[in-house]
Amino acid sequence: MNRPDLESLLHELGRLPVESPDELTVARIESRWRTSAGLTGSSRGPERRSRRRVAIGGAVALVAAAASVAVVVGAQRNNDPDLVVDAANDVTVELPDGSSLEAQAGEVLPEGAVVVGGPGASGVIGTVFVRPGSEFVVRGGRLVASGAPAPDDPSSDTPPTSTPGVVATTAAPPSSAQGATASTRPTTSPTTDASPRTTSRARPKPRTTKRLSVSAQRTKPTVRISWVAPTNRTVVRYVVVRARKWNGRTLPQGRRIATVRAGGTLTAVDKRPADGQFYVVAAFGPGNQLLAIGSVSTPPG
Amino acid sequence: MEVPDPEHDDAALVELARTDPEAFTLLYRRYLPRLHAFAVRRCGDRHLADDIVAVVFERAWSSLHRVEIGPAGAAPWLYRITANELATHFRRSGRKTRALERLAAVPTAGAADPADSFALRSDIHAVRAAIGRVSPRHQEVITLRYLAGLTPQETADAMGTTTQVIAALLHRALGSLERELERELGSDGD
Repeated sequence: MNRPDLESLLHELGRLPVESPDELTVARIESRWRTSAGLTGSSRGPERRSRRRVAIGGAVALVAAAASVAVVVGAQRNNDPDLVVDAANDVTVELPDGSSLEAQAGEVLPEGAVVVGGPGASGVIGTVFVRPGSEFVVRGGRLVASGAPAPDDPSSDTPPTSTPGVVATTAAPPSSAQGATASTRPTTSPTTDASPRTTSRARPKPRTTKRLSVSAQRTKPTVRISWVAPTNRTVVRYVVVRARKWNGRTLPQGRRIATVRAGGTLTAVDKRPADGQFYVVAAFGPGNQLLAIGSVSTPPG
Repeated sequence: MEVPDPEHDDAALVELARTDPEAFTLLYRRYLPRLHAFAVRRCGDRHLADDIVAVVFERAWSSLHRVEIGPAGAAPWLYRITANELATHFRRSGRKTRALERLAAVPTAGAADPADSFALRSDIHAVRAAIGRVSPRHQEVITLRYLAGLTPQETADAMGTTTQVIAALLHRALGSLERELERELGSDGD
């Protein structure tokens, strides 16, 4: 191939029609870089927007223009109904079908699910911190304090004042120390971290699928995933999948990283890790039944 | 006094984004389609392009406080991060990626005849694979100039140099690519 042909081919390659990513893909990618960059959540909730109070050098017109565009973008983002657990420890999710399970990173919370913080709870779901004793319900794709009205009014940007342990996660960029304004700091401070639950409901029965304790370590360019075998279970094999999210109960759709036989070293290596995703490890028994399952976030690179 | 308008002015938007993450989201929405298309053209895999651009915006966010936006806007900065990420990806994945590329579906506009389409697709596969084997700097200049469609001036801005240097660099990069392509096409016949 001579030089003109090569240049012509390169131009051809540069002109290949590529479909723009759809809104869902845009939201997914945004969620991934936000998570990796420490901007927890995908900013679906209006809490973040309500605290946009930026002033740079008195340029009022600049702020107004930015805010107006941001509102449009924010409205578009509200189309994504998924509420995903970013991180959770000692947080229980009670599903609408009556079952309950321990919240795991990457899990998608369905509408009506109840999130309960245990005594040692710490977690981040969307833009909300879950603290010990706090309780929320998923309504309209976001967490609201249990018993609060549904957030169907888009103008009601302020989270319910009775919400215990809620704080907006409007992280600032690394350089913001010198230029941070009030807008970059949470204006809803974590009020009462250990507020007791005020509602009484019949506790659902726990599921029989156990939780696996999974951890991940990043050693560039790979990620090593390791887990602890469940006790009192006859596990035959483990399957490790990398996924963007999962339902917390079954093996999600995603890239299969490894199948590991029980009895060996309980580790797997992902040679092509992707930030903002989750590793789900599922333990299967002799009858191919799911015995235990757990997840961990991709460690930052 | 003229007030900067972040809706149209990248520099103002980047300045705003330093204290307001939502402004950075606007920048993301503005550039995602172009950067995503660039990544898809380079790697031929939409899912991989998703991964690449997610990392690009993570890196852009991290370097927000260091970047200075020139008259060409944020494009040179963001395209350069994307080109670097693509080069890094192909360097890491090596021949494994080459095999995967052959399986990827490639849109082939401009070739109405199926035979022409097949030939174009084969050539594109070969070119993509060959680009992955030239030096990172040569990859950068080739992808920015042709796959991203930047002008010589924009390419120079992205790479932090002059158009004269870009012209010389591109000449050498195309020479390297020709040699790699010969090797690539030669190995296909083995």
